[in-house]
Amino acid sequence: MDIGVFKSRPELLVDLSTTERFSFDPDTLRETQLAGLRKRFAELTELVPVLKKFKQEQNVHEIRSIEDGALLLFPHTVYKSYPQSIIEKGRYDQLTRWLSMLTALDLSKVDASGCQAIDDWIDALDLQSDVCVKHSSGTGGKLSFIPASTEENRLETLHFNRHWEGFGDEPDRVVKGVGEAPLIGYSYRYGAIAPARNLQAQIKFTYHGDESKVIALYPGRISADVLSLGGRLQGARAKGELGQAALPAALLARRNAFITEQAGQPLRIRAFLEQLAGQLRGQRVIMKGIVPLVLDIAVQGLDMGIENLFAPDSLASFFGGTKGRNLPDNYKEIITRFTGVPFPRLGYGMSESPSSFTRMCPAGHYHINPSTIPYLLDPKTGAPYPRTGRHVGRFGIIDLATTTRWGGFLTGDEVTLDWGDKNPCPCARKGAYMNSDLRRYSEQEGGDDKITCAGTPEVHDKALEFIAQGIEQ
Amino acid sequence: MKFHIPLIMRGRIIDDPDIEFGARHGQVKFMAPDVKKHLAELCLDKPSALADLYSISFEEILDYLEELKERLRFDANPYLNEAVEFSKVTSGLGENIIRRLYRELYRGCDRSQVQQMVENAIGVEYLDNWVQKKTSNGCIASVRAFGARAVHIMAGNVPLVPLMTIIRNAVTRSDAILKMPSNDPITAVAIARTMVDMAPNHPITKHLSVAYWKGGDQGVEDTLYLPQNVEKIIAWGGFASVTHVKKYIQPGIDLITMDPKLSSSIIGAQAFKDEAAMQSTAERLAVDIGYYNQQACANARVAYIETGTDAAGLIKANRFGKLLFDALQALPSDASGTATEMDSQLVEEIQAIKLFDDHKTYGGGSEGGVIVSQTSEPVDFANLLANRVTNLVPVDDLETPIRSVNAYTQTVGVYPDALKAKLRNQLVFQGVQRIVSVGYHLRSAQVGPHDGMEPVRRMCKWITDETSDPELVPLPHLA
Repeated sequence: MDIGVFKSRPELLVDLSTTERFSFDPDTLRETQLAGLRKRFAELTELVPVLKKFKQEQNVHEIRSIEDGALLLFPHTVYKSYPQSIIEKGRYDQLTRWLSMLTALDLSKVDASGCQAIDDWIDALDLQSDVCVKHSSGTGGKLSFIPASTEENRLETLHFNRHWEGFGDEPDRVVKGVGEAPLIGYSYRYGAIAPARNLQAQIKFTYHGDESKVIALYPGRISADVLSLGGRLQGARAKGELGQAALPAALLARRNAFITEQAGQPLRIRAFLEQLAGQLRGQRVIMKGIVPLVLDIAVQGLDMGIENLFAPDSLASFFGGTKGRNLPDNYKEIITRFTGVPFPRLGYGMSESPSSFTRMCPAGHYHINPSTIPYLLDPKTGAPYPRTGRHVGRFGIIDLATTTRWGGFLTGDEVTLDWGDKNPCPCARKGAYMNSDLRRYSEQEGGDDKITCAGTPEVHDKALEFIAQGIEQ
Repeated sequence: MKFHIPLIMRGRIIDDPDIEFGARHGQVKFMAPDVKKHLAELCLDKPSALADLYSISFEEILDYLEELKERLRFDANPYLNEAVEFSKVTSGLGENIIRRLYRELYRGCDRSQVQQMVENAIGVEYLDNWVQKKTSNGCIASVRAFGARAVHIMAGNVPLVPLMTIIRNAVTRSDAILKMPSNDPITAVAIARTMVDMAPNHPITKHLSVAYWKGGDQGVEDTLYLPQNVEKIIAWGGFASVTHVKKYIQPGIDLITMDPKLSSSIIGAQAFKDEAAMQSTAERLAVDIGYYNQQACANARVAYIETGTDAAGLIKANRFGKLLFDALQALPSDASGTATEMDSQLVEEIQAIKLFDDHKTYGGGSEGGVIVSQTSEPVDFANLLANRVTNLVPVDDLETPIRSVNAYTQTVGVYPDALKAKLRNQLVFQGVQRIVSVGYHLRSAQVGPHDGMEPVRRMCKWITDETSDPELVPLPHLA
């Protein structure tokens, strides 16, 4: 392995095997990452206007050390800093201009004038540019738009496909069948939410366009407009009559479409399960999904009498925490009974970062990939903790595999990060690792019995839940 | 630091440190008695027990409050001093501001002020006597306002709230159980302890309990919230408190919600006619935004300014933003100051908009900030504005601000005053509950209405006594 090449092309780190990923000695890794960071910073500063402004705000003009990167973590709000009224007024040309501030790709030729909805706008960008927007699920009331690119998605796929492998002489060190065994995605097939985008990239880059090898739980499209509905209704209400007058009939129509779609959900899940049982029973497959959703499907599958569905040497990647749900204690057994595949060690990653995904090691830790530079900040002051020993703080990352936008990002996760220098992980992987007990800062703050007479965002979120319930009914 | 928060039960102080609770994300711990152990005594299941409050006159209630006023003077009151120590950690306000709030607390018991409040809100005669009403059919009817047994689910952002509740409870001759929030479990305890020291056997002292349990604790609430124990639940804080209460609502329990609200300002074109007018308006608006670091529902957050949205208008708006920012910085330090802790969500929202050109931002850190929109749209995160961060929204006419008022709006400050008469009915139709002169958001006239209703009247049971003489009022079947 010629390590020097990663200094000038850090994105190549994503294609390393698991053993290679976690065998860097600390000095080499630091040098490699520093060189990569400098390169990205130099390239993207001039091309990504928001990065240019951010570095001025943060007063960072050059990268002297890896520590300087701690000042270059975009807050998550950057990706949803467009005024919501742009969407309310259907000004998708303005939304394109806003997005262009976040990417090195040229969007000046994109014509969004005919767009009636967010979905149209996403399609226009897909067709007319290399930007592949990924958006959030909008639980906070407003969608984030991340200007990923075709290249970023390719790198993400490469990175993901190597994560199955074990480290060193672990029994799963050699993995076969990626790109051959059918892929089952517990997600939507179409749309621009991260799991759907990932499935599309898998078809394109791993299965070379062979659609027949990929089965999605929901074969349709997850609509950004539907996901933004709650936020838009909430926004409209917060603006009083002025806002309500601005609610277009098209939005209300989508609300109805959503209700119809929700009503059809159980039937589609049934069809999905029948398809799996009919076509893939006993076969070796690859599965990918978030735990609560996989559990729901498993429960329904077991209700239909489907057990031990796949070959036990199938590959499974489950992740995403519990999404605020209380799962039953035996959820792993339920899922395993359904799939017939031993419950895998869970994964952790973030949709903002293409090469952050990491699978828990046999010792129960999440190791940080060499293509992502980790940072741990004091949640109150934002000051970085020293890059040694073990600390609990707010986790940030600079992903060196984002070649067309800035990869620095501050998560909302509270993480126990061990730099691996004083307490190396017993699994023998080198470098920094996180404990598995990470949690959102927002979850932590919900525990207080605090009451005030002033309106708070929480109040509005609860109101939003009420609206959402209204929609579901 | 660890605190003990006793349970005050009808003049008795229970100080067993049974359970440890956390406040402010666990940064401060306090020990409190287990309310479940004392439920039998806490619940007033004999409504007739309110009778002792009718052995005292309204004047005697005022005497009691007047004496309490003297005892609540900060320097001589150890309980309030302890409350300051606690609030330093939990309230999110600077110590200067906290001290001022507690120093000024005693004024709430001012005799003439209480009397005037009751006169305006209910009418003293209805509390002290049966008031005879005229009827056209010959019936002699009298009306009187009686006290009720109530649980108050308190807000903890301003110490005046518990004192106001205790006063309202006293003047309406009611029985109150104050359920304290974790952000201020101590102010009400401090006042109640002062009352116990002062007059342990006085009916007003005997009809006040102050307790902390974690909201939603079914062990407490399943027993307490029954119609035989409680007639009224007064819930501050909207969803946060109502979520726990709603399942107990049934005939026989009256729920009064003091919903969480946000407030805003409308500044007419006159304020921008010259630099002097802008300066003086900025100083007044700064008070509405900055006092008590914007922790109260009455603090202004978004201000609509009629500067116009053309280039000249935006120059004015940005200039006004600068003046307002400077005025915020110049507020007295015991009323307003640097934030002790910023909401990280707000910080990141400000960080993000600074990277784009749709807003002009002055400050934006712990010193406070003024975000001037460059279109007639408020920022999407307007409901996060706190700690002296405000959003100025330039508008071409006042139609936008009027129509932006909604069900969450409490106070709207208007400048100049002449504009109020023009706007007020329209503002009310949209949802506003209180309209004030700019600079006076936090100075309530206390004339009765609050949150669009009359809570002091609603705290009472309104009873009629009707006497009909068949000679004068024929029985129905003979009519």
